[in-house]
Amino acid sequence: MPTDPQQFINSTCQCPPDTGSFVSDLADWANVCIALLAFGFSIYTFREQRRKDRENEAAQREKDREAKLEAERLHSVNIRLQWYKDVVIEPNLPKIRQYFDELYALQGQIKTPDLSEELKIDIINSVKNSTKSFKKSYLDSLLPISQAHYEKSRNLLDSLETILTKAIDNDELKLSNLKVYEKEINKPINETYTKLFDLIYGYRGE
Amino acid sequence: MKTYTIDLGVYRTPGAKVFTGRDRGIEVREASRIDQLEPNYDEILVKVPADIRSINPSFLEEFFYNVIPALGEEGFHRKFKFENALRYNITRDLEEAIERRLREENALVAY
Repeated sequence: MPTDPQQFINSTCQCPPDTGSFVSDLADWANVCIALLAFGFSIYTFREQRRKDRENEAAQREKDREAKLEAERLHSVNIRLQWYKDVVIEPNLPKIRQYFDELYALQGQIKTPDLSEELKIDIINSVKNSTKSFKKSYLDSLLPISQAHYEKSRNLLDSLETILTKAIDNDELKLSNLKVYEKEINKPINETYTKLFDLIYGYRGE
Repeated sequence: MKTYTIDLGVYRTPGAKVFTGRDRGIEVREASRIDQLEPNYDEILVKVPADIRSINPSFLEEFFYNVIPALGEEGFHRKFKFENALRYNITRDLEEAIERRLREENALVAY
C-alpha cells in the first residue's frame, strides 16, 4: 500500500493521471465559449434593438410628418371654408335669389305664341345680362378659392344660359303655352337652382 | 397685309340663329382651325351671318380659347375684325368673353 497520499489517490482513481486538468480546461473553454456566445448574443441583441429603435423612430418621424401635413391641410381647408363662407356664400345668397327671380320673370315678356325677332333678341339679351351680372359677382369671388368649384359653377350657369337661349331661339316652340314654357324654360331653371345649391353647400374646402 | 376670313355661317347648326355653349365653341374652334391659322395672318375677319340673334360669351370663350391669351386683349382687337349681323352686335359678348378668358388664365398662372 502506497504511503504517499498522492500516490494513493492516483492508484485508486479510475481516471488517467492528468484527467483533472483536462476537465478543468474543457470547462474553461466551455466557459469561454459561453461567454463569447453570450457576448455575441448581447451584441446581436443590442444591434437588433438599435435597428428596431431606428425603424420605430423613422416610422414615428413619418407619422409625425404625415400628421403635420394633415394638420396643415386641415388648417388650409378651414381657412378656405371661412373665406368661402365670408366672401362667396354670404354676399352672394341675395344675388343668387335675384338671378333666378330675373329668370323666372322672363315669362312676363312672352305673351304671344309667335315672338317677334326683336322680342326674341331682347329676351335672349335679358338672359345674358342676368347671367353676366351674376357670374361677375359669384364666379369672380369663387375663382381665387377653388378652380374646380369655379369651373363646375361656371359650366352649370353656361349650360342654363345655353338651354334658355336655344329654347327662345327655337321658332318651333310656342313658349306662350304654359306646358311648353314649363318644360323648356322653368324646368331647366329649377334644376339649375337645385344643382347650384348642391354645389355651394357641398363644397368641403378641397 | 394677309387677311383670312372665317364665315361663321359655315358652322351654324341648321335652323339655329344663335351660337351658344362651350361644346359648340370647341367644335367650331377645331373645325375652323383658328389656332393654326391665326399666326399666319395679319388680320382675321369673322363674318357673323346676317340673321344671327346671339352669340353667347360661353361659345366665344371656347372659340377663342387659345387665341385670346396668346394675343392679349389689344393684340386680339388688332388682329380680329367682326362683321356684325343685322340686329345683333357682338361687341358686348366678345368683351365679356375676353375678360373672363383672361381672368381665368391669370388665375391659373397665380395657382
